[in-house]
Amino acid sequence: MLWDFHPVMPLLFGHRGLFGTMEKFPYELRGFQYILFYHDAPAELEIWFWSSVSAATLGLVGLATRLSFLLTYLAMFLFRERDPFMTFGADLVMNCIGLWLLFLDSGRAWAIDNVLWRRCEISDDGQVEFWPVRAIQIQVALIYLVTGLKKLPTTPWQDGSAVY
Amino acid sequence: MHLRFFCYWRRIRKPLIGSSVFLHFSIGLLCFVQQPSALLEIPYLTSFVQLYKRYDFPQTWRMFAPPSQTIDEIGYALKFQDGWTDLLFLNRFLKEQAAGRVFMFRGYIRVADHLRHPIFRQKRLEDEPFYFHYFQQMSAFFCFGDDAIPGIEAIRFYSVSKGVPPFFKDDGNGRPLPEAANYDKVVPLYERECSDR
Repeated sequence: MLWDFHPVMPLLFGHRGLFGTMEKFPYELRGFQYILFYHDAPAELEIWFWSSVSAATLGLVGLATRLSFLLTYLAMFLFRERDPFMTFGADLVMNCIGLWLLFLDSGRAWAIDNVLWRRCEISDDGQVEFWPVRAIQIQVALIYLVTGLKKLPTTPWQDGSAVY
Repeated sequence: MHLRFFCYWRRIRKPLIGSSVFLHFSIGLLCFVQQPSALLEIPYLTSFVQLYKRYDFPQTWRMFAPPSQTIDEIGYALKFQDGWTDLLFLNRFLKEQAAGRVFMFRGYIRVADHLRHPIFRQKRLEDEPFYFHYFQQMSAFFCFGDDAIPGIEAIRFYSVSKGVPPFFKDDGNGRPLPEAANYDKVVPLYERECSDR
């Protein structure tokens, strides 16, 4: 997903891009989440992008899993805050699932972290807290439930034309 | 002292996490309750639900909106020395950006998302500062930004709606459905002279 951004970074996040910073923003942008509004020079965007990709790669191979997941989540959060117009439904789902993943001890299986812990002979009881996975299941179920409830009373769904 | 706290924490941790998750989903569901409902008369609940909505916590629980009866696009026209161009569409800009490429980067889907017609909550664009800024910034992009068009004097954006033809001939009770053309409209949204800098 992060990789998607690279070819169009100046267009989406650059100072002179589609949603650039040439015009004064209507609200005061205070806080860490708006950092990309103030640092949108091409070099700064590159540094930020490659740092995000590095964090995501560490998460993928399971090295420093907790930290890398947190950093990847923050990176995606900053992207979305910088240009909320480029987001779609899948981003919102990713946001929720990403949040629950932060609580999951993902480094305990199929991860470099796990190998390192074994080498260091750090004892563990082999148990992994599984409630975040349950929360993700409930989240996905709720998405479909609420969506269905919202759609059902509308005319296109009742007359069947929405499914053609 | 620390050990006591640790033991206490071990005991309450799971019920606490479970209750928090349950509460989060329950409040999120309450965000979809509509007036009038007895649930919203519970003291402090309404203000709490409002707080939840304001921070967009239940955001993904209604991922797919009901299908629209119109296809909405952002149109634009450019003013040069010899007058205004015909109505153009931002999709054309997207085509120009992606033209001549053997592979289309997935990032262009992001650009296409950015160029989608926003869903306005107010009737006037001036009442929506965030969307007003969106058009202000996009006009700056075409006037002075990375894709500045040579010779451009002004730009005007439009909301262009086209009705979707109904799939069935009538509403099931013999009454004819409104024709798609009834929903067609072109509304000017924002105009800017490219001479303010």
